[in-house]
Amino acid sequence: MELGPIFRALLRNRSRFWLITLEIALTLAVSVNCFVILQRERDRLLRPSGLDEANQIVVATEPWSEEFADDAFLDLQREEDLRRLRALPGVRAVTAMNQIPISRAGSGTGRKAEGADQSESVFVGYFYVADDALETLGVELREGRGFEPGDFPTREEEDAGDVVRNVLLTADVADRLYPEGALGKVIQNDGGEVSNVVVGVIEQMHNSWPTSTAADRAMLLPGRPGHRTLMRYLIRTEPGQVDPVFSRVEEELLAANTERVVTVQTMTEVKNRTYRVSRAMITVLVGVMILLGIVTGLGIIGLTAFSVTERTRQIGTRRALGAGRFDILRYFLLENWMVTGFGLVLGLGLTFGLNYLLVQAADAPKVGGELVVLVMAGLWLLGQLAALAPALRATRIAPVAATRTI
Amino acid sequence: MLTMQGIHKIYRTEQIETHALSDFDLEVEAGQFLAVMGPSGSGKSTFLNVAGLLDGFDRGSYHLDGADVSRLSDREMSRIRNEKIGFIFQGFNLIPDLDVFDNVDVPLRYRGMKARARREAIEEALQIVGLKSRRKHYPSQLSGGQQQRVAIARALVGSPQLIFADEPTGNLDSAMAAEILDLLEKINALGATVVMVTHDAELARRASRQIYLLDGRLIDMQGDAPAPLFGESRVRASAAGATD
Amino acid sequence: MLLYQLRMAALSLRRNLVLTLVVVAGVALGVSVATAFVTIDRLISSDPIPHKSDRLRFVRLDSWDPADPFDSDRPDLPPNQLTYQDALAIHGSGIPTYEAAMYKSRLTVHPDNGERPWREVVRLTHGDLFDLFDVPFAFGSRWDAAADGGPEPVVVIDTLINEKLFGGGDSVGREIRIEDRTFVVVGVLDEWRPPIKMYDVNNNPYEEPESIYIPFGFAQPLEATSNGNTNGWRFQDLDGWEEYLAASEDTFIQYWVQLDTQEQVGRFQSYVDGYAEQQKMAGRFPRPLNNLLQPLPDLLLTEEVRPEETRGLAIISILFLVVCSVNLIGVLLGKFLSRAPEAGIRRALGASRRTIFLQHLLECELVAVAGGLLGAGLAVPILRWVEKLFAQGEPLALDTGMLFAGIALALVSGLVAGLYPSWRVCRVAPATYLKLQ
Ligand SMILES: Nc1ncnc2c1ncn2[C@@H]1O[C@H](COP(=O)(O)OP(=O)(O)OP(=O)(O)O)[C@@H](O)[C@H]1O
Ligand SMILES: [Mg+2]
Repeated sequence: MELGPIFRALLRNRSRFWLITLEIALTLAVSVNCFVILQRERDRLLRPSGLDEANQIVVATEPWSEEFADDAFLDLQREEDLRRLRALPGVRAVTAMNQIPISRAGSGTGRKAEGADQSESVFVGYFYVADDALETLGVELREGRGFEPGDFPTREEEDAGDVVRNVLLTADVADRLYPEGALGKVIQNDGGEVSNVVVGVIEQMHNSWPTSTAADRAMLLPGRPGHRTLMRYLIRTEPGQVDPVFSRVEEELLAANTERVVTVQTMTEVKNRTYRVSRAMITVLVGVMILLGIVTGLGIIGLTAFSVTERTRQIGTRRALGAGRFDILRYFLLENWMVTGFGLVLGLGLTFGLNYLLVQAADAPKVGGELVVLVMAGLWLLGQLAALAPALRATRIAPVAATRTI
Repeated sequence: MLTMQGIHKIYRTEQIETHALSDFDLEVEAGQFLAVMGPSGSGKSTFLNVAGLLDGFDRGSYHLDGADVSRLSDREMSRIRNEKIGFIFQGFNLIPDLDVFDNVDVPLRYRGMKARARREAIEEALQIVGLKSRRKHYPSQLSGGQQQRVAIARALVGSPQLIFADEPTGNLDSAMAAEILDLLEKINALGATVVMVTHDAELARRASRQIYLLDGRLIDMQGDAPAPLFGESRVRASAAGATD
Repeated sequence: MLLYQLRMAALSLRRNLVLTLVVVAGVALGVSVATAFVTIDRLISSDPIPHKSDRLRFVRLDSWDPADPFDSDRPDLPPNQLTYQDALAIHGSGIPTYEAAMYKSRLTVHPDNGERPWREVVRLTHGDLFDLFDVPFAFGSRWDAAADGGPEPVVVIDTLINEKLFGGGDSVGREIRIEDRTFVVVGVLDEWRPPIKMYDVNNNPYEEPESIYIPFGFAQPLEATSNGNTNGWRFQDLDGWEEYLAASEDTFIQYWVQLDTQEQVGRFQSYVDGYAEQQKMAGRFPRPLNNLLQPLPDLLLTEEVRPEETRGLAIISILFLVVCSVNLIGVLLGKFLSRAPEAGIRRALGASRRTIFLQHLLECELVAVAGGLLGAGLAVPILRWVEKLFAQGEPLALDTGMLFAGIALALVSGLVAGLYPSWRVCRVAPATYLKLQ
């Protein structure tokens, strides 16, 4: 190959060489760093929640009527709401909950193994649920059982205090508290005042804070969720039935009692709001990377086109001396290949430098080798593609161009 | 070696058509040293470009070393240029980004030769033109005569059968010009056919055959007939046109 | 001379209009992206109330768990909110210039016009909030201290609610039904959208301020539960809202004071320390004495209010501008060098190197100004779009500073990008190109 002469000729045209090199280096640095941030956000977004998100609807009813201050009334209303929602066509299961998973607003507390020291307590996000909770959430049970009617304490028992509720834990919590198996074991709050018995372990489920490191630590408690000012329901529809069910929920609940504000959201909406920043970052970063690709691509096209025009006579001479069209094409692609390659090598340093800066200033993730190689390959391809158009134009320069003075 | 019959070459610009070659017939035998003369604008460079496969023509037929040029593909023409033809341009046409060695190397690169064979050929060509010591120089660091000699080395490095030279001595003093001509004679003596455009009647006389061009037409001066005066050539031109 | 050069520059730009447009578009693109992201970052990270941020102090009392600090990463910091009982107890010392306890809640608003009631996020606060943070009023004013304690049924609303309920205008004196009570409007806020909700950084500092403000004294009678983060460490078996407020160790109140003098700071510090000692005697505040009167800028730092995302994007966008500028250098270099013969002729005709240099630099700056103006214009929609992606609510207020920043950025990049190409052409020896022609 003619790498030697191409390289030596390149060194004679330093400004062009350095411009493309610099551009490629910067592009590599910026795009690799965009990519790591993008990857992190995407990973966050794609973390499984354990729920059947696509088919769930979240309902908040916020009563203003004083009637709801009465516990008996509240219980009756809940029963009626559940009955009405369950009767809607397309509904698979409904439960009442005090908080909604993934919503970023929730309740958290500590739980430890029975008799363990307070320092061994683990943070859990907890949910009081009515019957049908597992079916509605769509989570899978790893061991044990779901709640049965007997698990729900009566109002009298609750009021009397000291109820030992049976609970469900996610595997993440269960394995932390009792690595040898939590089923049937007693767990306690930090101070030891509250005890629960574990009757089932859920494979995996997000609590209310899916972006936190403790996202998989959740606990379900049987109860009568809701109070005077707020009652929430979670609906799971048959696959694809979210829209028709959604449109009927408010009307159905208001028919039961108009003295309240009813807010209906799909779980997808809830999730989108929670992951707003991640989604926004992904959109923006993809946008920046596309713009960057376009700008860099155009830059390479421009500089290569300029160098083709400048070398018209030289190309003619080469053709006159026997170079075929393909030789000319190869010349420019090889030249681009070398400049890009040099830029990429130089860009490596810049990439890690920028990454260091971003890690310090913006808590960005660290750049890994695999990604760098991938982006380098992509940019190398971009360079070749960008050089292609002017290089093809160069092949159309006729040998007589050698004899034209200007 | 080279047979042209009824070649027409027309340059079209927006305002006028220039018949740079019209009804041009020529036969050049292998081993000839042909000098092409004629006033400025008479079509000498055009003839050389067409003959050297740098440019196409509009009408007529052209056979080069037995091959019908009008039937050749771009790739085949490139190959012939590379292997059979050496071209010495009016304005040197060295590649400014490459040093002497790399400039002479250019045609060999398109031939897929081994590095060692290339180096030997280049050294030999540079030896012939006497520029071996300057191989690391860039064109901008050479005098006009030196540049022309590099161009000659580049033309002969691939041992072509045909060498086209467009005013190889145009920019040089007479001593240097004579030297260049010595070189071309040497190459000719080694068996290559040489076609050289020149304004210098003195140099032209050293060729084995001279032809004259006038307004794109050919006036052949066989043998050692004296160089015609300008007026005579015009008369002959019209006479030739009349007999055609 | 300058005029002549300007004309020559304009002529040269017009001669190659497509290239000129491409270059201007390139500058505009780089400048707009960089300006938008840097502006967002600057808006969010700048001091939200520079003339008095040092005097605004966020009160933090360490009422937390004896076993664990509130924040295990920063064990020196007390909890970032107060319990209701502590907020109530320290209020009314008379030491601070202004002081306000506050939290956000969600209450039902019943419109008069027969439309369905809705839930609105409201802030229960002492009236000093408006003085502490220089909240602008369009009509009326804050409620007075007497209304805080009473509490009197008065509210301050913002333009949005004013529009929604009353169709805008001076609504002072009009009534709003919130939950089961009727409140009288005493003030309507002017447009107010601080880039960060500085008075409540623990509950999404990027959201817009609440629309309705109700005297703090209504916390108990309205049973207004907190709609923000509530942190607790202790299990307490409490019955009902009243008991919860009176005895819970849960923290959900933000407490702000304005302390104008060092003397005030000292006195208020010993006042809250005295309160904590007294509570220790009663068996509360089990941790070592650690009460902080944190200045606002310091609070923004320790609570890490500046979002990492915008900082990262700002850095990346600046580099994007650099890439655009490198491109600009390439295009200008090509353009100028192809015109080098002209420069050669000018030089031969007596133009000095300096003249040629300035001539070309001027051309770059013309391009840069055009690109900068276009870029600053483009930055606004980009900023709005990004803002919409990231944040909820009303858009941030933009200042003319952004426009100038955009143009300045363009001028600098035009200058930097133009230096090298201009230098290259001005170094062309007059002879070089004349000979070739
Ligand atoms: N590319 C072109 N387009 C149009 N006309 C051309 C072109 N090249 C050459 N010509 C015209 O063709 C004619 C022959 O030109 P050519 O270059 O062959 O002359 P020449 O004999 O080599 O002259 P000189 O001795 O000055 O080099 C001239 O009239 C010239 O103007
Ligand atoms: Mg000629």
